[in-house]
Amino acid sequence: MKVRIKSHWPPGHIRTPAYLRGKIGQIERRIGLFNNPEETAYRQTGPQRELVRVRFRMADIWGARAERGEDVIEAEIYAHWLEPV
Amino acid sequence: MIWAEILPGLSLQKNMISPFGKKEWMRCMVLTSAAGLMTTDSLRRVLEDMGADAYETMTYYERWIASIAQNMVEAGAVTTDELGSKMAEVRARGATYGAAS
Amino acid sequence: MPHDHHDHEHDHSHEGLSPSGHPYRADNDTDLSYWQAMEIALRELLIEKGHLTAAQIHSQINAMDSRSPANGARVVARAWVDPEFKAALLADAGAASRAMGFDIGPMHLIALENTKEVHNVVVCTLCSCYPRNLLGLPPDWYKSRAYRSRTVIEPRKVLSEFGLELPEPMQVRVHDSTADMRYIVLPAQPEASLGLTEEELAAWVTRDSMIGVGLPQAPR
Repeated sequence: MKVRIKSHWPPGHIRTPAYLRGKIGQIERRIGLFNNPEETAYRQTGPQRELVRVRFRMADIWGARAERGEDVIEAEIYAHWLEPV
Repeated sequence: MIWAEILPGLSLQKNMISPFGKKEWMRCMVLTSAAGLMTTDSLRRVLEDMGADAYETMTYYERWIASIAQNMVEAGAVTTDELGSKMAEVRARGATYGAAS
Repeated sequence: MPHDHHDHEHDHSHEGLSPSGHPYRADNDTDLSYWQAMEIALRELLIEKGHLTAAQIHSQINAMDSRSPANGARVVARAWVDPEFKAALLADAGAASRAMGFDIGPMHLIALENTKEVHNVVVCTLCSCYPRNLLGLPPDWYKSRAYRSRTVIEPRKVLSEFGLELPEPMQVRVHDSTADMRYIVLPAQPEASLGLTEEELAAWVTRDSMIGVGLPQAPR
């Protein structure tokens, strides 16, 4: 399933890498529910959030700068950072 | 917050000043394990808030101790005053880590 | 070039240099620094106030001290000789490691299989997440800003600096350890090692091959 990482730039402790924001990838696997680091960083405990592994083509992240466009990056992204494409 | 910089071409040999030895790391990890006082992400958040300068001026170990201390104070487990007094007591024991332990 | 180290890490004298090429420090004999005083003070205050006990500290240090790449090497070697174990490892690497008797605590572990088509490499761009509960501490270069930033944009160049050249048709998969998962690369078994026992094979599995910047090699 194709997803885009939200181009969202809040302050604070964020585990969605800057280089992936706004990029499009495919869900590689769903991992389950985990505490939200954006909250636990401040000792807040809200509801757990779904964590998803997303696979990105290097070409879709780096464009012409990519060493090899069909190489991939896979990263764990919280579902509230994903939007449909 | 820190947004990981992309630094193409930077030599892989260029490491942080001074390694984080296994003993130092274990002693720090033990401090982070006290139940309910901090989380992995609160440790990271304080490290990130130190800014990029801290990378140049402090060792890995020093940044971790600073983060753990801030976390403990935020959690209400120790006050800065208590910490200062205890540190003075520790230093009075001797001039080396071994003597002060 | 950063070099690999077959043996598990330990804090004894190694002709004065640790595996990462840094001198060992005799902690107990150095002048007490501000931060060391703070470390001791924090530990004593936490014990005094009942947040930690000396027994907990002791048992945690023992557990951490027992973790080294040798543990991961045994997991990989078993996967090479036992197809059922390999399947279990790829399905749930944490459960498989625990089944072998390793105390990895609450760590969530994913094993990434290298094949003829795919080469995996692991990085943590945001900090230095590493499967410490199985492999012990990461090497210094893994924590460097250079490795953390370059591996996601030029992994093949980074790998070639480690001495690893990959054929063009292979796909490189870079895994950025951004959240709760930790990763171990399951390297392909070298042809030259076929027929060896599980114990012999463990000596072929280097720490760097489980990160993905090297391949398994015959022990020196």
